[in-house]
Amino acid sequence: MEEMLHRYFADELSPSEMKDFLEAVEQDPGLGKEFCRMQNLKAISSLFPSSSDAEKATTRLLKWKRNNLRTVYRQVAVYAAAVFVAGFALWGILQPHTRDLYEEPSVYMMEVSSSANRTKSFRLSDGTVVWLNSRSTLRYPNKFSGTERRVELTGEAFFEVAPDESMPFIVNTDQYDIRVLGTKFNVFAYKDNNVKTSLVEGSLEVVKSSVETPPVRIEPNESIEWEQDGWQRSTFNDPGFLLWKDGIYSFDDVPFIEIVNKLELYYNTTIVVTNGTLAQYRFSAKFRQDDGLESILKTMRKIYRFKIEEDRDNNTITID
Amino acid sequence: MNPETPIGNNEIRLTRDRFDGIYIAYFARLCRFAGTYVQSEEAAENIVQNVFLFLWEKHHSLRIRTSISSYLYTLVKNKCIDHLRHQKIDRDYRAGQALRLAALEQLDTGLITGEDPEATVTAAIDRLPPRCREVFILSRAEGKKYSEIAQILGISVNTVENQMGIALRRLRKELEHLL
Repeated sequence: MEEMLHRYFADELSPSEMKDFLEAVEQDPGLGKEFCRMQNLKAISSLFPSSSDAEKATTRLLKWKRNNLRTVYRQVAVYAAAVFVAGFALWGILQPHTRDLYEEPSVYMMEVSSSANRTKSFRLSDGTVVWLNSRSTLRYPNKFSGTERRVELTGEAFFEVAPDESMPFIVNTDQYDIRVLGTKFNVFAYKDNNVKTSLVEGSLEVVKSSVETPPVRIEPNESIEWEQDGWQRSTFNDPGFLLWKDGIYSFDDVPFIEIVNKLELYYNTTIVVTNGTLAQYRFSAKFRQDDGLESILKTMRKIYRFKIEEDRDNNTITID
Repeated sequence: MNPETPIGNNEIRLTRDRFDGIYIAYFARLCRFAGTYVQSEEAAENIVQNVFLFLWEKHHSLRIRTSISSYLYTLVKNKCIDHLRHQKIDRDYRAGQALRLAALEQLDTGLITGEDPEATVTAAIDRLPPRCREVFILSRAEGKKYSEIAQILGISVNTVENQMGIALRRLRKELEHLL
């Protein structure tokens, strides 16, 4: 039986021998105990290094870091070389053979940006469709591999994520990560603004790794953003604010100052509102992105009279 | 995360700049270790990758009181137990799986004895007679079949099997307290 045990863990048994052997082990508790010991011996023997360990790990680490968007190629290569050399020196591994430390990267990052006044839509390698709002950037790998699909966003984007249970889709923003399996959702993540995630369909969770808080899951028609002291949830009934992906800016009963803040982001300009009453005055309106900022402001002026002063040198508009 | 209490006073603080070195030193070995239990290279790699992800994200709040290797093997062990408990498999293989789970649950990754399993195991392997050691490493670390080892070393398959038998009996005895 000892010989069978050794051959079992060396993968040298034929299928029929294997079946007989496992039946015998099941029926004999003493043999079962010995099986467990030999299983554990096989497992802890793997603590002994192999000649290809460093190469395998380096390849995987580089892939991960590339997906993780925090690439430190040179440092990794130095570590790899050091560990590789140490491996040979310390353990005198059998049959050393020279190989390149790691393969040429077959996964690399792509970047798509949209200019002011433009919306873009495109498809990623997994079938996920992305719409980018004005002045937004998405970084993503040319193909997804490993355990997750990770992309990095600044600006605003709408995602229709292709379902893949084995590979969560993760949107990385500068405030937190959004993790989904397959859903439709909007992420507003312009620089210097609270990152706001709004779910249209399916489910998603937000994860903030820099703070000790558990992931939070939200439902369709809910939005979530990170405030200084924690997560703030809200609901929305009117999905009009998502019309930007069709080139329409829709505002439903929104204070003028909030509209102005959005327009500043979309059209890359600074707008100063000096009239406090106007700032709080609520508008409902839809504009075509193509109309341009000037036309949008002139249209609103028909509802509430105000003066527009444009300073082209400083890219500033003052509204009174 | 882990029900067992670590022993020892030497705290190790994990820093980001040590991370790459640890990853490269342990990733493949941890995969081999997990693979012997979960019997799938892909599942094993996912388990190990998740352990490193955990380390990467939590490194600032971790205080490791055992050796790094003991700590890593414990994390991987616990994840393998979860995996085996939740995995559904064919009737024919269930016996093997139940045994592997039982084995894993009784394995000491160094937390009970307080010793560094890596050092103990590599030392025990290095104490094997030279030919025996060679055969053992080719089989276990390099994953070669008996016939391949026979060819590489220019000996018969029968001799390979005998040498493996000697190695396994010796290691089984020397490492019994960990198994």
